[in-house]
Amino acid sequence: MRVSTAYFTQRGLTSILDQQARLADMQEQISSGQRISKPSDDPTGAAQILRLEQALSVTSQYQRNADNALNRLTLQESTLDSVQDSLIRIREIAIQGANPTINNSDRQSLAQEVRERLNELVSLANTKDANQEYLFSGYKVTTKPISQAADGTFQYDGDQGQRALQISSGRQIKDSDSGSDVFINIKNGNGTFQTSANIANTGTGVFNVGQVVDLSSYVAETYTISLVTNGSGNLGYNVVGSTSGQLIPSLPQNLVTDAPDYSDGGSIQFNGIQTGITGAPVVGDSFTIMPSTTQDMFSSVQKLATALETTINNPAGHSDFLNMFNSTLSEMDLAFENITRVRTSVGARLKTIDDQININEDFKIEMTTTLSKVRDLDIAGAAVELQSRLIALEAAQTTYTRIQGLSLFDYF
Amino acid sequence: MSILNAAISGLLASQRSLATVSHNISNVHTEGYSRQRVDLVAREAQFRGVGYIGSGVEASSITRVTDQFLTTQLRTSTSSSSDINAFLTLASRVDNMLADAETGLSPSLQNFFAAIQDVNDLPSSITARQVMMSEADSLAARFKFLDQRLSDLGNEVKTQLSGDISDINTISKSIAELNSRIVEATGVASGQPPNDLLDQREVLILDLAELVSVNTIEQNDGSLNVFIGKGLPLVINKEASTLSITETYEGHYDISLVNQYSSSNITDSISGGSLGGQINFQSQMLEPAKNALGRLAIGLADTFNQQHQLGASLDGDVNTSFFNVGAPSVAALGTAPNNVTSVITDSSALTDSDYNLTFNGGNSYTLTRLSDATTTAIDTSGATPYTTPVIDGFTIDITAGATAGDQYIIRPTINGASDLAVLITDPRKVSVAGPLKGGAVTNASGIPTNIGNSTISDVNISSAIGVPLASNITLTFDAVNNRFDLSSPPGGTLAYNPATDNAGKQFTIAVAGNATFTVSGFPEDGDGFLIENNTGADGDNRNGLLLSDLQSSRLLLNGSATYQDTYGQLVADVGSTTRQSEISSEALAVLKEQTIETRESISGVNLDEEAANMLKFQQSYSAAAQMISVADNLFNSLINAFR
Repeated sequence: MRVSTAYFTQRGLTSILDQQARLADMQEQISSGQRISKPSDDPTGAAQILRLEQALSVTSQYQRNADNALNRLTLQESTLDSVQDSLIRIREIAIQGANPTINNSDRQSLAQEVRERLNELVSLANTKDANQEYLFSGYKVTTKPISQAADGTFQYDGDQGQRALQISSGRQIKDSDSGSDVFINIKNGNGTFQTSANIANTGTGVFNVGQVVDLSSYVAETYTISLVTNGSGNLGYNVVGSTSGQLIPSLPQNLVTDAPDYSDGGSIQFNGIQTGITGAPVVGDSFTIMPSTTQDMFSSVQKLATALETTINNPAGHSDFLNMFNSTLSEMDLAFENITRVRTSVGARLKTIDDQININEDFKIEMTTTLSKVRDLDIAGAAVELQSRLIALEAAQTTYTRIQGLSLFDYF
Repeated sequence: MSILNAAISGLLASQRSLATVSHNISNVHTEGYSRQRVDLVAREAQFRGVGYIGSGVEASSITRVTDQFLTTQLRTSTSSSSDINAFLTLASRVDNMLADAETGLSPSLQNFFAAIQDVNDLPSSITARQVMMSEADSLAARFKFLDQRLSDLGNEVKTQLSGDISDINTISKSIAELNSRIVEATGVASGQPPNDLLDQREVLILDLAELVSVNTIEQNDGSLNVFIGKGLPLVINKEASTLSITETYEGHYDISLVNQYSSSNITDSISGGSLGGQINFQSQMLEPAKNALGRLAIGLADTFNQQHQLGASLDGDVNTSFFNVGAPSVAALGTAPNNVTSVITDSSALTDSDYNLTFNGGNSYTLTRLSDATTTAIDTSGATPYTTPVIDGFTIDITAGATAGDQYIIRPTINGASDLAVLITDPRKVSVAGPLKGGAVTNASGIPTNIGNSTISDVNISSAIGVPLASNITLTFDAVNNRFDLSSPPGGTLAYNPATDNAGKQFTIAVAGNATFTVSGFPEDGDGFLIENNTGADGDNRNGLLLSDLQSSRLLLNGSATYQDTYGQLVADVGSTTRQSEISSEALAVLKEQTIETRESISGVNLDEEAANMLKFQQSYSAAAQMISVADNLFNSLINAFR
């Protein structure tokens, strides 16, 4: 085939320019280390990169959230640990105080320590985290949760909110517990009902805190246990419910005449409740069972301090103290248990976060690997290709100069 | 004498041939030059008894060596190649712009949502809120930046179109002139072809083919009628039409063909060449990309606002919009009155197309989706103002009658990206808290007073109506009737039987933001729950969590794609279109090269060949000259014989 001279020149030049353009492309890929520098290099890959980068970015954010939750829950955990230490110490003091051999002034100094511990508990409940947010005020993180009014009552100003953080696409974790849940919303008595001895009692009967033995037949109302002289002339007792009416002796028996004999420490059972009285009550004494109400931990401790501060001058006074002591100790045990419950939950959440952090980390590694496969250049392959392209360019240049040097006119 | 005459004719023929060789050599690098050849024929012989004696040679004509088929093929492949190259050059700009980490949207989108999660981690922090707002600003700025870059490209398309059109007008005028010169020259030379004029016209037509696809029909008198695109007459004999460019509506350019009789919009009939490539780019990539970007901006702003409105700020405000949402643009074409408006009602159903609304007279309008020409008939039933049902996520309000034939261009998403802006200026107004909260009734000291063991879950709302509450709602349990009595407003009761519902029963209070909550456990008679405004809840992030969830929710494209997916789809679309045109461009370039090579192999000048020809004609010239000398000798011999 004929070849025109002009086209010959043009083609030689074009092939050199082509090779140079490819080299420039290779240079860009090698210097950036990336196979895809614009979507058209690999449209599917480019969209995949966007997805993977978002997944990575979101997962990194989840890790930050998890770290935050971890820090806050760890602080909460150590705070609650200190709270329990205090409660244990207060319990020890209470038991010392219940010892009938110690005198009023010793009890005063014990009361003193209970007050100090109480202040410590209040300040622990008002702990702030590194961001100056209160740990235990629910959503109202800038409101101090616990304060004590001039009349000595405790006030909770937080709310019952519990904040959550996102630590993976499908998982939120609560990173706080409201003070209401931790310190405030604790049922007094035994958690279902509370027992108390009439303050006017003259005997030395001590009412135990009792328990619910059959929840389905428990009826929440006020019950009064009264000590009477029964038909046999013995010390007997009867039980009347505020709405159920006469329970012991059961109807149609006579409330007084048929009252069962009192026995020291004997079990008294009705409406699913089991309780008992120890000591020596006398006729006319009475004891009351009421549904539990909510008693905050601080008031329970304060009640103990007040009980310790009360001067005891006679055995009846001591049994009054013991009745108070029993219910307060039970309340403190409930508060302790409540905090243990919260700590268990915190522990489980910390474990969850730890696990999730590992899962997220694995996920990030996996995503990074996939991203690298999609986006990154095979450097070894590229180097080989670069070499062959360079050779091709040199060949094109050599051919061009050699061929251009030939002309028939040179021979005239 | 015949010897002398024959020799002289040989001398002249060689001279002409040498002159042509010289012309060929001189034009070796002239673009579009076709090598010329002298066609030699033997002169008619004379009968001299013994037979016919030759009387020399004669140059019958000087012709171009061309192949009409190749010429046409070259034009076609030049048009196609130039079409795809113009498209590719512009498309690559969009391509580069979208995925680059520096200019793309992804990083801003990710930073924005990361900032929301940082606010969730610490909702009381003004700093975190400030950062989130700055990230939102950056996101809006990025949308605007991309939109602006696309608009800039639109302006560039306009500049290029104008340039091409002015070139086409110059060329068409030159072709018309050449037509008349060729007709004249052919006549003067009694039918001999004016080779170089023909070459010039060929070059001009090839230049024209670079700009737009060309068809020609040669007339008997040598003139050429030129048609562009889909059979639009550009040059007829000595008359050239002109093209002009008009901005039909903001940012959209159309081409008109103007001759002495009429002017008509020919945009849809333009194909091939850089003009075709630019028009394709405008309708196939630029406008869809701009709309897709706007659609994403509108979808993001709208869905984000909807959730944001359900949250409460640090100061307890609800129903606050975070972003400004771009409104549809309606352009009345020509003399149509401005009585049509449009409103977006469902951001997830929007398409990336523009729409044409045409009034047919009476109560009848036709709405055409420009991307695929799907039509929807609209009957206003004579009502003014009339609001259409929702079509592709928007409605159209027609407020008054019009003249039949009036047209409107409705562009639902065109302003989405440019109008995206953060409406909130005070970081306290970022609404990450839940507006309502539920809890057990407490006494004045904040101590819960319930006797039974029951709980209420968080209160979530799904509407901002009735929120914040004018007064707290108290639920008091009535154990006799197994129900909660609601305080008034709203009053009423909610049935709850602890024996069967203790695992949790969900309730909704419609008038209080459609609040939903769950009560579980065993309440005692008189126990109560309080649903109240979530005041002072600096640490609440319930709505923030829902906001950050939007990032991974499939909210757009009819619920099939996340924000990132939607952007990814745009990137992939642009990428694959660019990739396709890259591949086509390479294939067409090869095709064009091959055509040029074939054409050059026939019409191009080869210097070695010309050198050989030169030698050949030089020799024949010398031989003819020698023959004259021989004739002279013969003549002298004869003269001397008579001396």
